[in-house]
Amino acid sequence: MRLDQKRESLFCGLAFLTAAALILASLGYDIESAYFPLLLSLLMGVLAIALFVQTLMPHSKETAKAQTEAADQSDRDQNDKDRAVMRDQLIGFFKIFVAVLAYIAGIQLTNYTVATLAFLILMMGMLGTHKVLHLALVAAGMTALLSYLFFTFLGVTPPEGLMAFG
Amino acid sequence: MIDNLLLGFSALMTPMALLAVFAGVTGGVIIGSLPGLTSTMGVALLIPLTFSMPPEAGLAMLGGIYLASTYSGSISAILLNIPGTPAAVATLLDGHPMSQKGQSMRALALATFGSSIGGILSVIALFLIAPPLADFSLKFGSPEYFLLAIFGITVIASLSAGAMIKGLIAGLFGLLLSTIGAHPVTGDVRFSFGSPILYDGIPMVVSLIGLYSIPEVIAMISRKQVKIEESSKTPPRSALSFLPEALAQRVNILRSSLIGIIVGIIPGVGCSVGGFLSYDAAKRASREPQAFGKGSPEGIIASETANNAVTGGTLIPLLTLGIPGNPVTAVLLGGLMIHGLRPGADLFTLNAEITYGFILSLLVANLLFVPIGLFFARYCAKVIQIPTAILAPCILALAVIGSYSIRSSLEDSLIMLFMGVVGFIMTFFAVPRAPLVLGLVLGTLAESELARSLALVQGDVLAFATQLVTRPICIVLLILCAYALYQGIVQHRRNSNLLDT
Repeated sequence: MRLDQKRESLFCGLAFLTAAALILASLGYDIESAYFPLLLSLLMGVLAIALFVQTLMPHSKETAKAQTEAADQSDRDQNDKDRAVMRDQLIGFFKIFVAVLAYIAGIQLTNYTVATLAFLILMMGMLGTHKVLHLALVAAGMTALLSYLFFTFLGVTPPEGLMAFG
Repeated sequence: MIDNLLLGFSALMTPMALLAVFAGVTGGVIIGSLPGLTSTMGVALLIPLTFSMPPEAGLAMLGGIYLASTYSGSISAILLNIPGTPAAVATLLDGHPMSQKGQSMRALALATFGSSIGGILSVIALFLIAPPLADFSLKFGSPEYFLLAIFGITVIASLSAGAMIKGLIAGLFGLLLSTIGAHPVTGDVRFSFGSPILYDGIPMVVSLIGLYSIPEVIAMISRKQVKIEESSKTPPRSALSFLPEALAQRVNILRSSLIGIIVGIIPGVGCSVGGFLSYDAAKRASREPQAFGKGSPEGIIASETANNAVTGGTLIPLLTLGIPGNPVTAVLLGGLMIHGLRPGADLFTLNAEITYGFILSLLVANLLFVPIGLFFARYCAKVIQIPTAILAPCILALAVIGSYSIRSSLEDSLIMLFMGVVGFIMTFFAVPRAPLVLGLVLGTLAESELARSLALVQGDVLAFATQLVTRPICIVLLILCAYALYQGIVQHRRNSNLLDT
């Protein structure tokens, strides 16, 4: 199975599982309120299966071409490149997910100013900015700008942290 | 109509509304010229800022961002050979070669004037076509609105660049996400997992921020930043001196505007297609087709006029029928809804002041991005070089605080992150995000109108189905849905054949 086929199959699996979970959840509600999501989930499950079948049974010429190409060195190189891109994307995703989650938790634990300053400084440092003056200026400027825009100009109530720093 | 125009004019002529247009255009010019930042992301991120503004000011700002970011993708395309937005891809073909000849200001001026004129003509088309179309929408009942929502999703899914099934799955998932929370008729709360924050469903703006900011930031940090060299120094000649050259291409401008407006009205086609179609039409009609691709002024004007003419075109189905033609207008629909406005006839009668004020603000924005864009172009190369390491954390902080600000709840920031994860999974598996956005936006309409239609026939599914195949507008919509799906299948087969050969 080629890399793109594996990826498509994984997507089909995810879509099917999501549809199955939603069908089960829908069955727990009164049918009058659940027929719409139930219908949509069923359709999504059917489409996931259709896409999976389509992925496994490509056109004959395409299969032949793919098999011939599989042996080709340049194709293998391309696969390696694709793998590297996917790895970079997943690492990027993991970094951003953890950082944003930590930032939200940081706001909850401390307050907006402390958490935003810490998030911006750490994130910029992690992504490759090492000039301390740049880090401090951008972090302070952005924190002040967002604070002014949302909490002063628009009058949004700032998030209250568990530990009040003022 | 004149009365409504005057009402709109008075709504727009307030310091707040004018400042909002100025801020929107300035922000849009910067966002559009930064490669990697899309118009959709810009509008989604800045919707929270418009939340507490008066609707006319908030919408004017969002409209300004949309128009200016569509135009300003051409700045980086011309100067740096990098299209700031997909809409500017056709502009790059002639804009950069002209810039390499040391005529950067000429290319920028032609692109700017072309964009402005195309945008203005499309706003005039919006002004002329939208009100009668909105009147026609009064003939729509619940079954028609239900089918209209389905048609919107079908069209976008079928045009998902050869990934029709994936597009349909994304559209269905968007519809499913819209069912979270209370049922529009029975009031039963579904899929809330006991969390009160989900009783009202997933907040649309929060979802859009997550869907469009997190995946873009991940893409930004996953690729290496390339050091960009400016191709040539900006010459000192005034941009205004190129206005006669732009105006001399009347036929090209009119043809490109017409193509752009028509492409805009058709859901799912988009600015880049409009640019390419009119570029091709200009090349066919040109006396010097061989000059295209080597810095032809006709090529620049054709693509830029058309891609900005698309903007007004996309707003016609949005404001009249609630059908967003592309992801940006889907986000704009979210912006309309958070200001309590619903597309259709009411928008042009009960809320005429706001709607006509918005349309007039688009005219102002189309004029305003000329000086702002040309001024910004002089410093563009430096701004674009903002390192990803600085830009990415700033976007994330704005996304977290922006989503918090909607309901002053950090749980909304968590929902934003969740939608960001969904957006990343979709980009990872090459699933288009536009159908999901449409499903999310149109889902509530589809479900509530379906529920109402069924209630009107006492839950008799057969009677409802009979309605769908006997009411004239329903028949037309069903045919359009079938045609859209057929087109998707044809496109898919064509792609498969291309693979075979």
